[in-house]
Amino acid sequence: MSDEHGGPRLVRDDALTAALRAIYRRPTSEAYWAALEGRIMARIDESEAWWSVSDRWVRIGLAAPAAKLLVAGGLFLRAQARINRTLAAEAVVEVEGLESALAQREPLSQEEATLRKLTGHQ
Amino acid sequence: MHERRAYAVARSIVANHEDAEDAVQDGFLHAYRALDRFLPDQAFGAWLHRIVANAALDITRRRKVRDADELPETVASPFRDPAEGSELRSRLTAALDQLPARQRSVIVLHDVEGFKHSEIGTILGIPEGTARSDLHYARTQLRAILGDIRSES
Repeated sequence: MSDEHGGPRLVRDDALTAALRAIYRRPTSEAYWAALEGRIMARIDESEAWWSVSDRWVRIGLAAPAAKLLVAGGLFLRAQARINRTLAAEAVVEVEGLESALAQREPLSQEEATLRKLTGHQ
Repeated sequence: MHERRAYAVARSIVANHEDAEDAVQDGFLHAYRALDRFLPDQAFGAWLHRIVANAALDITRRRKVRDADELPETVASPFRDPAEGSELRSRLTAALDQLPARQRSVIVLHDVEGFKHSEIGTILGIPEGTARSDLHYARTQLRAILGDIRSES
């Protein structure tokens, strides 16, 4: 036999249902349910406290690498600035060296000076 | 109010009142921690009941392991009813213990607590059709026990 769902036909037995309800009867006292609710909330509160502590440690754990990153970033910027300053100083030295080298050269001949003027090379 | 239905779900799975209480507390705690995974279009009750059912199944598994290591111990329940010592009750309880755990849960959820087959399927993580056939087989087994008792009296 089967029902409209294609499964076996379900036959209800009131005596069986009553016997099962007697065995699996829920507590009826309101005080019991209030106490159970209190225990549930206490468990959640304990868990909350645990999570807060845990969360603080997680935050500390995350903060440390972040601080390191910031420090490393600062060091990198400082290093970059030093490199830039060095390059700039070297460029100045090079220009000064070139100018002094040019200054030390013998005066140009009239012919060479005229040629440089015409070609635009000073 | 959720704790009463949650208790009923847990009690259909575990062996006694104390374990059902523990399962309810564990289930609510798990649900609280998993709240960010709850989708607004879900039914909150069904979601919570599934979590409580899983907590109850965990307790059942742990108890099986523990009972395998220890001698059985009887725990007094504060919610005994006057008929507890009766022949009917003790034989029906023994018959329930003989049922496969899932069939026992299905018949309790359906016949005692009034859950629909679809709801039972969601709670226990089984197809609705399986819930229906489990109910059929559980009723058949238990009716046979009741029939024996009736014919004896």
